[in-house]
Amino acid sequence: MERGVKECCGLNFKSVSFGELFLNKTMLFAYVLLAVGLIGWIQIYGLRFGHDFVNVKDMIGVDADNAKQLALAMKEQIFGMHHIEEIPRTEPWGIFVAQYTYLLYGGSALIFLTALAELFNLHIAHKASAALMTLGIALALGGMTSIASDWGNPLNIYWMILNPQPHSGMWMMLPLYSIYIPFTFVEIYFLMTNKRELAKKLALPLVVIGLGIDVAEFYIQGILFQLNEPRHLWTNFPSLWLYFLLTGMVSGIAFALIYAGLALREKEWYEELKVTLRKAGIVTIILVALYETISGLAGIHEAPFSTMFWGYVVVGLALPLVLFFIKQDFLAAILMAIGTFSARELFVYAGNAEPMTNRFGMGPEAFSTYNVAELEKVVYENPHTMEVLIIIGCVGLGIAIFKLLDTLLDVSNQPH
Amino acid sequence: MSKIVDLKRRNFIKGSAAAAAAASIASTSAFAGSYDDAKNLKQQKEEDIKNAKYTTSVCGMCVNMCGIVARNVNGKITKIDPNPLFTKNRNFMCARGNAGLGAAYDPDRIKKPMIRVGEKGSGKFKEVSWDEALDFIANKLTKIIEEERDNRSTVAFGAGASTGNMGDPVFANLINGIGSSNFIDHFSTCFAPSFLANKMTFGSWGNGDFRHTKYQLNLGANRAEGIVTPDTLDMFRRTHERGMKTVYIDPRYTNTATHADEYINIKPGTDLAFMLAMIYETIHNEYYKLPYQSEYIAKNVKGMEELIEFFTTGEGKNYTPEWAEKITDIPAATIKRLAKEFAEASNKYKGAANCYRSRKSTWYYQDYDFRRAQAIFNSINGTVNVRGGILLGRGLKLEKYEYEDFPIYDNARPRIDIATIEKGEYPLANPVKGSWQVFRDHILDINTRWNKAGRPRPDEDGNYKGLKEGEYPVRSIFIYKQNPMQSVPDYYKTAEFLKSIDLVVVNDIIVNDTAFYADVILPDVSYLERTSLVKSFALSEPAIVWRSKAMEPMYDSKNIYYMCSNLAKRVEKPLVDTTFKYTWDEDDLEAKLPKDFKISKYLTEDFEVNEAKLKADIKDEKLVKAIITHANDDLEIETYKITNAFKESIVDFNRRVMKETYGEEAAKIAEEYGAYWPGIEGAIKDGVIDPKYKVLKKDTPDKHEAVYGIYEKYSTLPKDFPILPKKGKWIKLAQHELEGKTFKNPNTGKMEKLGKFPMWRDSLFREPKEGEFKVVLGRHAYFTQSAGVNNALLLDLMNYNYIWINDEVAAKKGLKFKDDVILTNKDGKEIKAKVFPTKRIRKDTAYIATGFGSKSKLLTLGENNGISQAEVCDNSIDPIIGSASMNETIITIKKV
Amino acid sequence: MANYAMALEYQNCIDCRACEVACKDENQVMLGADKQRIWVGVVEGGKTLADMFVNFYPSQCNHCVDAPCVTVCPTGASHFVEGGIVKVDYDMCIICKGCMEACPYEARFVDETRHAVDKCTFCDGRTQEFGTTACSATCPTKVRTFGDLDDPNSLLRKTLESREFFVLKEGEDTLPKLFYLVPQDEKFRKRTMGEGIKIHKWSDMAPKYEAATAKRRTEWKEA
Repeated sequence: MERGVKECCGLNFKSVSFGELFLNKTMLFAYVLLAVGLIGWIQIYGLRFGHDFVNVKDMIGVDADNAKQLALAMKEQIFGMHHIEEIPRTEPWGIFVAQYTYLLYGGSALIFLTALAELFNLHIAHKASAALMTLGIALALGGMTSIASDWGNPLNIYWMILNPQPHSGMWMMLPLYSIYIPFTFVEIYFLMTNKRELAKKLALPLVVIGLGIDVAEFYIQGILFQLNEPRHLWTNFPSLWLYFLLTGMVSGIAFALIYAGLALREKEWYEELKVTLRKAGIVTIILVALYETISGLAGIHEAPFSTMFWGYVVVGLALPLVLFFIKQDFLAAILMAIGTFSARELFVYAGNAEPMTNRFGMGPEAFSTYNVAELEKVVYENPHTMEVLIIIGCVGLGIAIFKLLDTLLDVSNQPH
Repeated sequence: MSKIVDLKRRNFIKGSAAAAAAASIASTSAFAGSYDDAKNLKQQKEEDIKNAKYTTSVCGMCVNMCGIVARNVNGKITKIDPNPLFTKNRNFMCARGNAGLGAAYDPDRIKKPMIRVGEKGSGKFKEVSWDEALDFIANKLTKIIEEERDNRSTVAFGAGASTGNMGDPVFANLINGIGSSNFIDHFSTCFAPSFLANKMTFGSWGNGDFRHTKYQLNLGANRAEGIVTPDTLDMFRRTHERGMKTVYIDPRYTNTATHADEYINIKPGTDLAFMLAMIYETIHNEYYKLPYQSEYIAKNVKGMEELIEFFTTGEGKNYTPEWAEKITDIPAATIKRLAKEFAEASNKYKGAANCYRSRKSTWYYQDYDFRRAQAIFNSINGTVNVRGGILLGRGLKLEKYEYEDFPIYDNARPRIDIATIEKGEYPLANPVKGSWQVFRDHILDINTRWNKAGRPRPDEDGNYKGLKEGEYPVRSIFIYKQNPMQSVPDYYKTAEFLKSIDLVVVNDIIVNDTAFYADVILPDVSYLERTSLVKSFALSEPAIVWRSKAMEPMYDSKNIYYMCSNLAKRVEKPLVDTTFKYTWDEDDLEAKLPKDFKISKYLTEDFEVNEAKLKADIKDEKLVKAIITHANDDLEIETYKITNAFKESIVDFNRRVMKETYGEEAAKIAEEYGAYWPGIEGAIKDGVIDPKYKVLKKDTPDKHEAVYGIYEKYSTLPKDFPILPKKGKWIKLAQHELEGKTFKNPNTGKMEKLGKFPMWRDSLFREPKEGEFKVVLGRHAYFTQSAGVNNALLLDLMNYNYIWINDEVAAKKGLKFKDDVILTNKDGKEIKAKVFPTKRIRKDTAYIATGFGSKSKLLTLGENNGISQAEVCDNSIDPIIGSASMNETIITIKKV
Repeated sequence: MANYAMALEYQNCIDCRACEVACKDENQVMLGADKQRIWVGVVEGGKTLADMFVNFYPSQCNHCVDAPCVTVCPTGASHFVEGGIVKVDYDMCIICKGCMEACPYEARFVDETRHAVDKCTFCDGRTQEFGTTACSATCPTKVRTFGDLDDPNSLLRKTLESREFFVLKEGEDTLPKLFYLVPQDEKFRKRTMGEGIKIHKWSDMAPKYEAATAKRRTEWKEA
């Protein structure tokens, strides 16, 4: 046994100093991202819980003491609502949901792929699976932080437990993730445990169950979006779960390649991992391309969705494919990561693009005479700065979780 | 505001301690049962509704005066609903009525009386008590009248339409008590032209009867946005082939146009030409000889032969549809068809047609003739004083509150605007209400000269050094709920006008632009906080309405009765001393009045001379006799007691008058249910109205029709009550008394003559040149002039009045929605604005909605929230009446 | 148990927005231009001043029999109450906005003062005493007829039985309960009703609504 390692429950915990754990290059990078996110979080929670918003009841409650404050709050709401309001009614979901799907699907798809590799007993899988699964779950947690930030009032979340709603796709997330997250950690545990006998016995069933849960997750995610029937873009995606899984795999492979390129260069199995990931990348990109072709999702022509679409197709799929063939894996991975984010943005934003206000079949309705001049053929609201800051913070959180687990458990040096 | 800060339901967190927040979270049971909150909220609402106090009142948000029911929960009005018994508003309340809460609970409400401390117009005031404020006013006022040798007219008075007339009689008593001839209201900035034209043609300006109208020819009376009750309410339930055809003519596609069967755009300022061609067509095609029309004319109309002559051989022979087409842009064929349609409809439906007049009709220089032409057209089609046409109507009898026993103040001079009008100008200027612009311009001019001359005192004949004969400075003005800064064209001139006056007293609920220039601001109550005088309405369903106080006055606000009676108490004695002194005629009375003599010292409570006291003080018997003679015989000094006019409180007056006129039960019903009409007793007895909530009973089978049905079922007035009994030929088509009267053409400066019939004058018509726009002012349904400028609930509907210009023109200028532009008017004023390019307007026209763009720094929401009509409009004055010709304004628009 | 619905004589609407303010007062809705439970939609058509038109569409929550917003809600905050009214319990809402995405009518918004998603409640709590909603009571031209679909004597039912009507986005199968009355004037009808809109009579719609309501009625919470 190495020096400075303590064993506990079959896992080797490195005994590291505070400095080693929290003050390393990766963590410092994560802190920068988290600090950016923190600005956004402080702003957004300040807005939600600490800002004066007034209604008619407050107006009636005017007295000599609060009149000025009330008047200023009114003024802000009446003249500057667009600048202070967080959630426009035209477009309820935005960049938080895009980031959530991006990190969560990418991370879960990476876990799925790793489990698949384990199932097929690939040599490289035994070396890298713990690290990649940990990366996957860390990013998924980052994604979940993004969706948690999206909820305007997370204080009431306990009602999901007190008042179960099994018909709701969103409620299904609760049982799903209460199983999924612990289960993934169990999988990682067994990949790394010293109790080899037990691990060997359980490996296959665990991997199979894991794959099942992964698919279930994507399936429920599909339902979640498809329940929003008037959002025709979402309901028009055939087998939405498959789309999520395949595109998630593209992001997941990108994350793995970026991670490997940054942290695993020194490993003797680095080249093998890279080649495997490259092959997987080529296959998934082709699968996604096939999906897009079969489902007939041509480009969406209105800006900014066309930009998102072509960003996704060109940057996320076409260029990486070319780069893979000329073995520029790292660059390909970065492009895939960027391109698939564009895909997520496209999915969420374009899903909201068609105005719901065309109720009488005479075109979208304005809310007032003047609003007529502001009507757009498609709905798109730029994300707030604070939202952008938060999604950066979410990435930082994913990196930090991974790095902490890696420092403590040394997931990148598993004992296979 | 809920005092408990609740993080979950963030009802306007005060900047208070976070500890309170923490405590409230702790006290909120986190694991309450599911749906408790929703259940509790509903229960709370039901309880609030059940436990509330309901008061019938009258809306004060605009001039319509609709009946309302205010819900008072724990001293706060939380909701206003329409009063179904007051038939005028047809059980309806508009956005403004609903926004009454926004007016009463405006956070910028004036909370205490304020006296100016900074320079005038700096917005710097100090808060004082009512006593301090009234003493201040009384001292200044009596000093001014003393200095002006008892010329009471040096104190002017202005009252606005938003007082809903229901406070005016109280204010009028103060005016009459002080004895000024200078009273000015919204007449000349609102409805003067159509009022005068209709009145001079058929004796009254009448009301539309849109429940029965079959054909409506509407010239720019945008009833969907300029809501008039009951016209709007009746009209739009009968459009779209449901009984009434509507032809709507306007330079702009308004909300009324959306419901018209036919919308026709017209070149702004040419409505008169259109109407003249319509009359021409009626004459030349002999539509007046249709069976219904010829019978009607034979019975009621005087001057038909002259009219025919005028349109066949006189000036009128030129007014062909082809001629009008060139002026108006309306095809001649359309004009011909419309004249025919209207005449045929009137013939077929026995006069149930209406060439509808506007309410606010101060548009152009040729307004008077335009409205006259409309009145003539209606008359020769037989639509006046008939069902479905124009009802002249009559109201239910009601005594007036006005006190009539005040003396005639010998030293009070004639009203300044009329007195100083040059000979031959403004032949139809209203001798009682004058003209705001003439009034303002003349006073500013005189005051400026008077100030320059060193503010001289008048000599014994009332002449001033530096002023012409008949001129005198106006040194004080009392303004009650009027905002001339925003309603009278030329904002800056009005500001200078107010600056030139020594004592400006404004009663209002917010510091609007006028109050901003005041010396003393008095916090008035909103309409929800006061009881007002009963008022009778001459409608197709005549009714009386009674406003009761629905909540206690907020802050330190007091109603107009308090202000008037308390000021009267303070000034009546000093003023009588002044009068006594300046009416003392040494030669007549054969005695010299001692310099410091004050008759008030010897007056009893009832203003009777206490001779004993007088004799005790003054030994000179001759003088005593002279004093007594002067007081009793010359002056009838008891009549100088101004507070005599305020003896009866408003509530007492209402109760007494209703009881004396209609009986005890009627008085009770009127007070409790806010409305009265003969027969209403039956409706109450039958339980049509919920006695607690004062609205239609919950289970009323058809609430939409009920409002018509109740009156029809229970009213004991004869069915044809609104049709005035008339004898002989009472409609006068030709106005001989006007013929030959002169006016000064503002475009040419030449004197011209009025005709007995309306005439089109090219010289009075200004057409915008290339790149220019004619401004039309108008409404959106959410704002009444400037009164709503700071109303949160209304600004929530619309927070800026973008200037409308045609979209193609805008595209050429590279202008997009909300782009900043500079507007320049004839006077060279530059105004910042934002544009709204739209298809809904002609290329030569720009539209600005009224009621925005306050500059008062004391209005948090109203300050600079749009374009001020008073700033954009140039100072064009109707040369006949002296009313504001606001739509004569021509502007250029420049991109910033 | 009542089943509340509304018939709308939309051809009467003049865009005065009295309903919107009445609603804000009665229900103490947050201030802010698009923070309304009820609104008038404006659609402009045509090319020039001569041939243009503007249509007004008074609207609010449809209180659908099969409300998708209720289905997607993860906490059950969106729920049905007695009378078939769709409501939000503010203390249970996490503002995930799933309901806003699921609603085909954009009837929901976030009310920051309640810290929850909010929407029309058919003036629940008021109607029990006044028999009608604030919007209907105040309307100048009486666009809205509020009433009980189950009560054959209600004005609502009588109106639906005597007039043709249509519902919004019928294809979404939500069974909305705002019934728009078809105008008599053909020209106006063409101007205001899109091509795909199906015109109905109560006799042909009633079975569908009754069956669906019977099915969902068990979910109606006590209010």
